[in-house]
Amino acid sequence: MSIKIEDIVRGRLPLFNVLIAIVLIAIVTGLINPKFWEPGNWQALLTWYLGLSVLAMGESMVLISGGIDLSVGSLASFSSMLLAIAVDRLGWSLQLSIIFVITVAVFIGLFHGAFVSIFSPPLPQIMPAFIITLADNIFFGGLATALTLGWPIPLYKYPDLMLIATPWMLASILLIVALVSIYVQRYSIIGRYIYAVGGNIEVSRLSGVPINRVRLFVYSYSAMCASIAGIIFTALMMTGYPGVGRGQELYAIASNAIGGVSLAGGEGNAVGAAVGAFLITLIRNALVLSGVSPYWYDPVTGVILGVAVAVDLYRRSRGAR
Amino acid sequence: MRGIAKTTLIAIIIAVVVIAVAGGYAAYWFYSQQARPSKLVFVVIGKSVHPYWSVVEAGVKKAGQELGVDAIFWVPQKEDVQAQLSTMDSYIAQKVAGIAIAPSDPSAATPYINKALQQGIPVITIDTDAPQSNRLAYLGTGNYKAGWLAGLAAWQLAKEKGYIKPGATIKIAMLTGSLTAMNSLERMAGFKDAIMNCSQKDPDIKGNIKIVWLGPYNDQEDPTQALNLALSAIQANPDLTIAFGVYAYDGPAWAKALQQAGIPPGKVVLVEFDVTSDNVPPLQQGYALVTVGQRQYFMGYYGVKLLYNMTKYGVDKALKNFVPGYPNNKIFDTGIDLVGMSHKEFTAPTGEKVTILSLSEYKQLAQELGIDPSLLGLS
Repeated sequence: MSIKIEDIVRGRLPLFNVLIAIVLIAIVTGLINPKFWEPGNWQALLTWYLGLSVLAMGESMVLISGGIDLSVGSLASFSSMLLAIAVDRLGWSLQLSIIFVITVAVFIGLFHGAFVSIFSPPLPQIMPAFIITLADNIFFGGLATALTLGWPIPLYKYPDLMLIATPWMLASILLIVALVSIYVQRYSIIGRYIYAVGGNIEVSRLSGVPINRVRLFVYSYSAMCASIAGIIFTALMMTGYPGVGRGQELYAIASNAIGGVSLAGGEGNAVGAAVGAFLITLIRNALVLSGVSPYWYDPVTGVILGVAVAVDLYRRSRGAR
Repeated sequence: MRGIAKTTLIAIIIAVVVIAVAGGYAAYWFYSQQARPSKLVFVVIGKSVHPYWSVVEAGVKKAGQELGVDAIFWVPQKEDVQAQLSTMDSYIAQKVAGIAIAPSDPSAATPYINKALQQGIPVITIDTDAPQSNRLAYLGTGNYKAGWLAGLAAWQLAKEKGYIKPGATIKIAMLTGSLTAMNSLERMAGFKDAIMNCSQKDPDIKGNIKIVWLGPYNDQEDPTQALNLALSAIQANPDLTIAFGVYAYDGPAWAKALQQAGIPPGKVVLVEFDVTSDNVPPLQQGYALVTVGQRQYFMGYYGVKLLYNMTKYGVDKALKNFVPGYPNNKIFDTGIDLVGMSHKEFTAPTGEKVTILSLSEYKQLAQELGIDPSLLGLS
């Protein structure tokens, strides 16, 4: 696809509005506080960005397939506690613990996919997806707290864990998750099935797309990304906290909405989700750097999200005409 | 295939529900049996099995020993309003001599508290108040005072580092988990008022200083958000003078952010809250200079003593002797300890004498009181 100037002017290029917003916010913040451009701040941005973007890219799979996953924030906290327990209480090696945590998350995701598959033909798939992932959001959030009765598990004794939190390691994790997500969505057969299921489930059923297998895949992928985010959070804090990542599922979904992933399914990709997550992270960082009173963070974030999504919807409704 | 899966699923759901109900009932029966005391006693009801409450328990036991009475400490496995209240009810039925409760749900506990009082059993609240009930007194951490003392310590430490000079500018950032919870608001208000007071009353400064307040940054009780906010705040203000972590994990989050930003330990005056296993390492690394230790031990210790005095000398007399400002005030502040790496005593510009205990003194104090230091992260 070649990019025409007309497309840019009319805002037909996906993500263009978001990129403009990012550049504008960066320029304005840089003018208010030149420290914005210092490498230290970009390192802080990267740290902050990482968890959310990994969650958002996982979530993009589910959203494209026409479902929703509300459990990712709590799954991240649960994974954080599980990792801390495996390393500290059970004395497992770090590698084994990480594999264990990711495996557990994948099974939880498979369960979500199976639940949606069992109930979906009579019901529209968004309903069981909403219910089971909301239930698990509550369940795993509670379980993460109940495991240690709310106490954190400090992991200072395990310096290996710190390696995960180095900027290079974080950047590589981000890159790997992004490349895998993009590969799956763009170049693999399952990716085409995901778009087909999200685009028009009846047509996919008639043309023999393995709908249930697609669901098993997308929910377990999303859960896997959530557990990776949980592991990253744990490494950043060097402590297993039951509260990490809680509530981030809504920001992960918002990142997707901003990045052009259709909440109705069938449209968008992981790159959009990652760019959307960057906008959200940037807003938070910019508000701190520009000295806005923290009492206004949520209202300002809400307005910017609203405008970004409205512009995107407007663009799309015009494009459809 | 689909039919089988559905039947199986329904069967599993039914089985899970049955097991949960039966198991829950069995566990409840077991615990309520266990809780039944053998003779007349004072009862302290905590919130959950938790190192924090084990410290309260040590205070309860100590008071019971000293008074030669049976002082029972009871907690549910985890926070459980129903278990707490039915246990309290069974103690009321047994006509115990007095009850101290930390209600998980104050409004749900109110009728039970009033019922006990109607039957002549004195009831006080500890740790968490039930202000709508007729409880005779409340023993807990005065969060405003705790924040105030933290502010005095921060002023003193910043002054010792030479940051506080006439005409200077100091930047103070607060990081908290909530902008609405009372304990957070009171801690921050106390901290801020203390520093503002010091800036006026300090004879070397007399108000001739510019104080820039950053935040309060709200991490919504998510420690990674706390770290990210702290990192950004430090990036925006590398000349930060004082940092205050309002909730337990906020101090460690500041410490991590300072470390990651390459700021040497001790350059920023970092004040933490609570003494737990994750608050102590930042002190030892030198990033945190002081932390605020709550005295939940005394909630148990004084709770039992107060109840005992009520039965011995009458409610009014016991309260008059114990709670300052009674009968207008029924709240007793159990107070806090400031804890740092080394012992320090100073007189704040507000005229108060403030002591910072060293970690080893604090550990010794805990041991003398019969508290296992590992509960406080001091091993």
